[in-house]
Amino acid sequence: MGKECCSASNDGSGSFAGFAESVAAGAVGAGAAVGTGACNPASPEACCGGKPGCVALTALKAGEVGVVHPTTGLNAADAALLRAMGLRPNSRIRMCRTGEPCIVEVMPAAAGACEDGCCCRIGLARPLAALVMVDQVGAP
Amino acid sequence: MTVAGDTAAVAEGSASPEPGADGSIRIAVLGNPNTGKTTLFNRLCGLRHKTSNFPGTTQEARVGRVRAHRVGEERGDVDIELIDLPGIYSLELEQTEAEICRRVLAGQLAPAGEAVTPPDAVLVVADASNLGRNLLLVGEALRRRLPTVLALNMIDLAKARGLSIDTAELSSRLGCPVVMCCARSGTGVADLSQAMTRAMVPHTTPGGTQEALESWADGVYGAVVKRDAEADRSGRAGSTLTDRLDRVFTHPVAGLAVFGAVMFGLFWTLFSFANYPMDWIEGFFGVVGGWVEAVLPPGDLRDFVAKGVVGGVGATVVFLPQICLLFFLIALLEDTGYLARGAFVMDRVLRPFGLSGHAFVPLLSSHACALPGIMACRAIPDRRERLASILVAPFMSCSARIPVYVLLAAILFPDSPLKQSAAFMGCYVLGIVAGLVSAVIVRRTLLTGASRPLAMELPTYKLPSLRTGLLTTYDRGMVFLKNAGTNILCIVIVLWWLSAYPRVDPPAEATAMREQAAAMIVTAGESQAAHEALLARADELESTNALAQSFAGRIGRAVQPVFAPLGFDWQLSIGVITSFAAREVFVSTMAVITTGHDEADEAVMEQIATARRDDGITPIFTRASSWALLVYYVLAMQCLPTLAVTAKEAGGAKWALLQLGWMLGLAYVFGLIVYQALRAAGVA
Repeated sequence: MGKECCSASNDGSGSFAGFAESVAAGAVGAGAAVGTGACNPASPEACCGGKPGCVALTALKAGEVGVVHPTTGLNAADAALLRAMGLRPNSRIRMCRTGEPCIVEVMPAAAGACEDGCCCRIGLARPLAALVMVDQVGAP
Repeated sequence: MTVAGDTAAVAEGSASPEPGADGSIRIAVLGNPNTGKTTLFNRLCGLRHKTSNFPGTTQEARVGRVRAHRVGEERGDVDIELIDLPGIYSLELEQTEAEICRRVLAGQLAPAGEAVTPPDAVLVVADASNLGRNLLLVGEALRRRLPTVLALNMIDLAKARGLSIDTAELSSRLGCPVVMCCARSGTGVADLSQAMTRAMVPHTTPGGTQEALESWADGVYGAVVKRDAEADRSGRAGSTLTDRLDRVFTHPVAGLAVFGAVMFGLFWTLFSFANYPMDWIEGFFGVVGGWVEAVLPPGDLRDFVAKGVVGGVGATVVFLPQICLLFFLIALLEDTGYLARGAFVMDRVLRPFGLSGHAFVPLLSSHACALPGIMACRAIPDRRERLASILVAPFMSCSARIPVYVLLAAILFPDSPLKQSAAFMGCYVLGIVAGLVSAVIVRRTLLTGASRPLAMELPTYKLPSLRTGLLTTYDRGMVFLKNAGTNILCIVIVLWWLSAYPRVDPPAEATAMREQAAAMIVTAGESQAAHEALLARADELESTNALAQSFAGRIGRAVQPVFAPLGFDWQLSIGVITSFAAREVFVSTMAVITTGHDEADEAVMEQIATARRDDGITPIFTRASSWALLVYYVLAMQCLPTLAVTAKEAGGAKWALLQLGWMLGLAYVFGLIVYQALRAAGVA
């Protein structure tokens, strides 16, 4: 895959329809409880199979880069949604802002993916971000 | 702009969509959020669209028309009907919006009033600067095996970021026409409308699993997108600025301060500018009503047209400036990309009450008027949170309550503007507290369920588009007139009738005054003034008597025992009953009952404050009853137009009835507690 910049962009619709679409599409957990995913996020080691450097997304500091781990503490519906938004396994992310909300930039996973900071930008409520596991790559 | 996909290799075995029985091609517009789908829809259709709902849901559905020109063998003009589907990240998600899209593409659902048939083609709108992720939805759309066109929108942004896309190669790999365009500037839109007439069934589709889809998308992306290395450096700079802005706008303290300033600016603008057109509208309809009264002969027809119909239409249209201006400002704000950040800031504040950050703007705008506030709740994606917000929005003290607050605060603290201000502010705080507590209660009883953690794509910061804001404003205004306007008109006519009928004979005292005035020899000066005063007094007595003897007046007398524990006499009860139409009517009703005048100027307000009950001694407005009335009006649902909009937006009359019952019950109970407590404490 060639280098790319995937940019989170406002469609300029300027309407509640557009805004609502963005949030509706991103609002997770339709009735399902947050968590109860493939592993217990309270013990990242179990989620990551003991792999060193595998932590919850909330453990990253601003500026640090990580790769989304295939196993998360998200339930199936949440995981499917975040995956569709771009947080798919092996995609590279850069932590932009920690805390509440947690803001990350997402780069699609592929060999040769770009290393710049111009990417999709997703805001996550902290309880949600805590369930996403990432393999630390380190600050750029 | 390139329209790739005209090669024979791509068209082989594919058929362009043909017009249906009504002569038009129906095309569903699909895309991720933030891809410019709605902007493109607006650019293609302009004002030639209508807004309705998808049956069985509260999801808005927009259907527009485009006239496109076909070239080639089937040359000629063809009508295209576009159905704007909700923006989704994937067709396979368990979400209402995704389900709606699936069902529309399968021919199982259509906007209200449209035939339920599969669309003739699909227009997928993708963000050219974010093609990697957008290709996932493109792949899912291709799997539907419908004639497809891909619009690569926001091409200006892609070029600014150094991206170049080989559209011919992309079209070849997808098996459908690909058009580059920029909906904001209109570039490529003409080519797109032409390409829609040549949508093609794709000759290849990605595999059925998510992994296969992602692998396919990565492969396509890698083959068609190239990036200029120089753009990396500028991209990094842009990202740094965005980081800085996000840190400020989402900061727990600074973010709140910024949000507060933005909201203050928004509502200052709203209050400052909406009043002018509202005054013009009121004046205009006053003139029209006067003209009707001058033209038609006196009688029931004249009163019905002048006061019922004209008054009713005026009472509807007068809301338009506030609604339009509010939605215009919010549209601009959203277009800048800031509103998404603001939602996260307010999410922290409102989450403990079972509401989402998106409820903040609707609740805040309800302080101007609950009607647009409730309509703005459409932006709240979670159904339970949306319903809770709709139910509690009327607790926010709207501008219609202000005349009531002013009257009662002046009665309670006649010589202390400072205390009047404090009472005023207390009313607003009480309304907010009651709203938030009610939200907690309703979310723990009727609308239970975990609050959904927010996950949202944050749009790029940019300058807002005036064109888009204006189109949105037009859309919202028309929706209001169509949905709420008819209900409001009916309500106002009914309430006018209740206040005007039955016709009664004037009281004997008024008749005597008129006879006395008729017998006077009128010359200029003192005798003319006395003559006019007699007639004016006769008018007052007749107005007061007419209202007291009307159906509304009789209802007021009949329900007075219900309000007696709150300290209301029959006159206050009439005021409460008539102000079910609109709260501000309370003051003019009290003016008519106590003085015969319907214009509540300062002198009349003074008369109202000192008017007496039937015993001729006790003031109508005692301290205890005034406090009870104030609390009552803060909490009560006294706005039938709001109920009509609640029923429409919440998806059923039961929600409006619940809202009415809960708010009236709360108002009654707390009004009673306040009155009885004050009486027990010896407060007259």
